[in-house]
Amino acid sequence: MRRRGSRWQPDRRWGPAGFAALATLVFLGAVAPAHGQGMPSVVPGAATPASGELEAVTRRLVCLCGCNLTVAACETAMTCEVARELKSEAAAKLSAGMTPAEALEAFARESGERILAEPPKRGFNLTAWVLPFLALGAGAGLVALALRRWAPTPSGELAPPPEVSPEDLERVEEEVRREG
Amino acid sequence: MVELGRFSVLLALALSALGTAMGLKGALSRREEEVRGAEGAVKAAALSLTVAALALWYAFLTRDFSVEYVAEYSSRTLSIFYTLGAFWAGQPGSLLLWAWVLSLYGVGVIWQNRARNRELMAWVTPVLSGVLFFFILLLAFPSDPFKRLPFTPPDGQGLNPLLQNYGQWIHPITMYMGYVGFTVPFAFCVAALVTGNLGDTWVRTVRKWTLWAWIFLTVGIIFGGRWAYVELGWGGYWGWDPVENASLLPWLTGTAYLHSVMIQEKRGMLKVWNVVLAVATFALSLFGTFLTRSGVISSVHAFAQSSVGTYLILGTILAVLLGGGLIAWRLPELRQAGTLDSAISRESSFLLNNLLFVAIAFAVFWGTVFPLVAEAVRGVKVSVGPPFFEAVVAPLGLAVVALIGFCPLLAWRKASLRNLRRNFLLPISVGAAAAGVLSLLTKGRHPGVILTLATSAFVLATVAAEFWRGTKARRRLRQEPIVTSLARLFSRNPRRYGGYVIHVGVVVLVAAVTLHRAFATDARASLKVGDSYRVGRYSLTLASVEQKETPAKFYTQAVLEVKDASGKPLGKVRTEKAFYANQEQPTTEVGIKSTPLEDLYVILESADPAQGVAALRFLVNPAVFWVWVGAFVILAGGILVAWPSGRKAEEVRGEKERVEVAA
Repeated sequence: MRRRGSRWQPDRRWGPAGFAALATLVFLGAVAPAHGQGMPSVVPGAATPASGELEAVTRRLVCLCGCNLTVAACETAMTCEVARELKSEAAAKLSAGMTPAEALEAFARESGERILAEPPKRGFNLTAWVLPFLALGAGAGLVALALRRWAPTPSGELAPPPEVSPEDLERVEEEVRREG
Repeated sequence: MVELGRFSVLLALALSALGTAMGLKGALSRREEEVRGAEGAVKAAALSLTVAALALWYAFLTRDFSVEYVAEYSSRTLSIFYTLGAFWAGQPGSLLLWAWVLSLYGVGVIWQNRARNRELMAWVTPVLSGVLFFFILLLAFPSDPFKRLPFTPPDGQGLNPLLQNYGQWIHPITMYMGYVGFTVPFAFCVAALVTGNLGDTWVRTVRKWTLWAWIFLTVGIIFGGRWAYVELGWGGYWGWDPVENASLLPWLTGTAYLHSVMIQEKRGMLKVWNVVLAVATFALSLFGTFLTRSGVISSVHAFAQSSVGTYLILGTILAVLLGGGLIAWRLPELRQAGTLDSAISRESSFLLNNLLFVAIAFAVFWGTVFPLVAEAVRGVKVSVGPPFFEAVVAPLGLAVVALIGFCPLLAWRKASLRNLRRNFLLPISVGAAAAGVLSLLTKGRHPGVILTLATSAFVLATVAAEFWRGTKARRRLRQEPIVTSLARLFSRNPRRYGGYVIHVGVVVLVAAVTLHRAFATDARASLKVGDSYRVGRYSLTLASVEQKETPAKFYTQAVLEVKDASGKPLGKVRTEKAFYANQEQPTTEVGIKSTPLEDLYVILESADPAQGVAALRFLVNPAVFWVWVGAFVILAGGILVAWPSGRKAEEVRGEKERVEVAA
């Protein structure tokens, strides 16, 4: 779970004191905004439109730190600065009046398609979306063919059951009687 | 001891080479003493690898930092528990564990078949030994766990804090036991193809080996999810990461195999398909290891990356070529004529089940490798993450759940109208009623959730009806008490009723995941000590924010007092951000308060202890408790099915099933 490319890579030579200082700085940097707002309330499923839109964007962006998580996941799981910056950029784009889809398009233009958590449904990327269902269709066709090939004779009679020797039958019946 | 460990690895390499060569010679010349000799070589290799494993543990316990692997993955402050678990924290130790487990599987197979299946064993032994040789080769040269450093550092770098979880003793071991376990069906499949013994002998011999491999892989996947949930702190348990996907692939094809093989046992059909699945499952196990170890695709499991990827992909290709070639060679004999009496029968539903499992496996595979394909074709990097997999896999998964309800209630050979009416009237009514109630409750706002939960209710009703019918029949015939009848359903037919238990677990898990995904609440707030915040039905008050220190780490801890909506205290939740001196990133300790209804999940994002301020993220995750319950039910069912029973009992049961189907 090493984050390649992340800026948060403290130098081991700093020792515990250096660590403490750096950690405090990191913590302070992110905690500065408003705090102590009395008793704000969050109702399930009733997030404000702005935060809902931001969440919709960050869940569809891949963090560029190399972790392959979405920005939403990486920000929390890895305390990742790259993810935080991307989230800030997403918030700025939404504040500028972009819709989530437009914000995602803008990210793709600026950083390439790899920043999107799902390949855009156009061009060669369509194969990513379509091929699994084409394969399923082809498989269904094969199953249908197999069912037709293995269908009973046209007379409609059932095929004879596999042969079971009288000894086997007797042995099994004996077992059934004995075991209950 | 380090030298002894190194020597043991080299000795095991020589023994596995001998086992492969002697086994092949014995198989070709049909000389039993050479086959026995090859088996002896595999046993001796297992002993050597046991010595190597003990030597590595000894190096860890004695803090021998002159060994590069020990210095890289442990430190003086690491507890004994995690020092022992550091064995498989990196690649060389993981490969040693892999080879060791494989050699022990080999010993088990040889012991089980010491007096039977001798013709098959003549080929099984060299295949197992050959795979063992391949892994020991990696262990002996490119990935040596006993490699010495040119100097001895005073301390090691320590274990990645994210690996310092009890899961380190469960997840990696069970994953390997699962992956490696699929070598046994592969070896028997190859042996059956080479010798032309294409009946159900090999299938019956490997059934429990495959089941246990499947169970171990299931445990590994579940504990991986649980580990991510409690340790990573993003509130989820499955992120569709390439390495996670890699573990899912052999699980899916293995599950398909365990179902389709029943058709071969009962009807002598689907032989081609079963050998394809056996080969594919083994190849996907190797492919999964390749993905984990090669780093060709970005992954959150980057700690596992290394240099043996090329060897592993070559091994995967070799397995596919060997298996594929043999299947092509035996195709005319494998394609025996069979008859399916009706398109509506247990057999045809198994075909559909296999189609869906393989389609999901293909979708996961294709999504996982698509970044490589896109880059090769267009020269453009793309990512394929959770939104893609959820969109593609969810409908297929729902179809599997529906089929879980239909499949076991259809009669073998041909389902009559009476059979359909008798078995499905009640479950379909239950499913429809559930859909109606849920639509009313949610005012039809969540059609996907309603569909999934109604399907789950339908499946649970089918299983309950099956148990009811079975118990009733026994009670009528034997006048047994109801509990005895129920217990004897399991003891007389563990495969069938254990299978139903697995199905119940799957449904519970799917329903829980659906509820969690649909109704989770996510909120953030920066609080001062004494401030309160309300999320869902909880009121949380920040009680303290403190910085603490241990020899291994220093950490900031926030403690919150939790009350319910009526003000009743529910206890405290602690969440931490820890900084380990020897590691590059801070880690999160999530505060979780779990109830059957929902999990309150609190993450400390940042803090200023001097000011008594903390930035926190609150998640209310409904039904997650039931994800783990469902998982444990699956395991319980799996163990019921796989529990060893006498060979004679197995054979009698098999014949009884065949007679039932034939009748």
